[in-house]
Amino acid sequence: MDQPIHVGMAQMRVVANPARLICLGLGSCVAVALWDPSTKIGGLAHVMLPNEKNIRKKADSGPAKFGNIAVKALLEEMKKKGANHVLIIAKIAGGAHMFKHLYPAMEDIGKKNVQSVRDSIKECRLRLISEDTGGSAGRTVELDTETGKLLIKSLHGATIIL
Amino acid sequence: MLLTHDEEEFKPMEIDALTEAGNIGAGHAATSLSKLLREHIMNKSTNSQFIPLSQVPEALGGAEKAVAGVYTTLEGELAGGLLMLFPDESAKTLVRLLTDSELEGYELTDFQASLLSEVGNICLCWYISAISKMIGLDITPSPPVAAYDMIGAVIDLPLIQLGKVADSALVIMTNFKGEVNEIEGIFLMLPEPESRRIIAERLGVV
Repeated sequence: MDQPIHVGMAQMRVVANPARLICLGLGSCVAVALWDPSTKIGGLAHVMLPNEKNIRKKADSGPAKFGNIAVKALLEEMKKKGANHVLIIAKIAGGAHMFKHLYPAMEDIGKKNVQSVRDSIKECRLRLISEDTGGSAGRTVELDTETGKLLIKSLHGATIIL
Repeated sequence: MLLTHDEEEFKPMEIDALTEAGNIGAGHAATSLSKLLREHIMNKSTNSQFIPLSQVPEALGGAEKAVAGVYTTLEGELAGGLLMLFPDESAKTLVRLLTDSELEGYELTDFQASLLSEVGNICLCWYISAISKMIGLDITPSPPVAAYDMIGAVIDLPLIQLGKVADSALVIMTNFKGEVNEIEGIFLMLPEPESRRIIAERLGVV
């Protein structure tokens, strides 16, 4: 298999099997992985912010930037490629609190990102089957479309497979 | 690379003015770091570039590389992020020089985190104060915070803050290096779009 495809901040990708999608060094951002076991179509979004409230949105902002619209956009893209909505499963990782002693205004971004993608997954009638969120360590997250497994690496602990 | 929306509005002369502001700031910060470490810290040249948010970690040397980062935000009449990043080995050298303790693995003790924050506090305050004087505006830093992790994870909060008002970052970056010890790092300023405009205006190039 080729090198994993990078999904940068505020980006998303949907691919056919076989492929690997990767988000490198997530801090407070959240990675949303969707996978359809029947077609093995997989999608990964790198969410930055919980929603568009109080955001001066620019014309070139994609939907993947915001948790409240990223999941739906990712789902639509997967359906367009032939994925079966009712079978799709969701996994999420990220939303850490990176800096110790951070003052309150910024403190909750990670948590809010996680809550916003959880809510959107529910709204889209998808099953969230596992998550590795919160804490204070950065994560690299990789989705393998062959197995639907989500590999999570950190500098601070053991590798986790969801 | 595609021109981003933010970038189209800026002329080369304005970018030069922002680079100069970063250069002056980093110069003062390097002097204060030299005093702290009793070692001559030299800056390489400062450069400024518009980079889409998604590509900033790679532009800083790779999203997964371990760094110690100190982060503060500009407050008052300018808005944006200001960071000091030490690659893994330099962070370990810095802690050894200043505390006689070793940095084990990637875990900062409270003491080491507070030490790095304080080093950042001193250097970044000098950075800000130099720019503040240069452009005649009142800018203060927020209390600095430190993290030791993958570069992508360390700078994602600063980029998230910027992401509320822009889709690309104007990355004003100065690399610094010690003469004797293996200390190197980056001063990084990420001004918000309005503040980029204000700095350029204040320097008389708009």
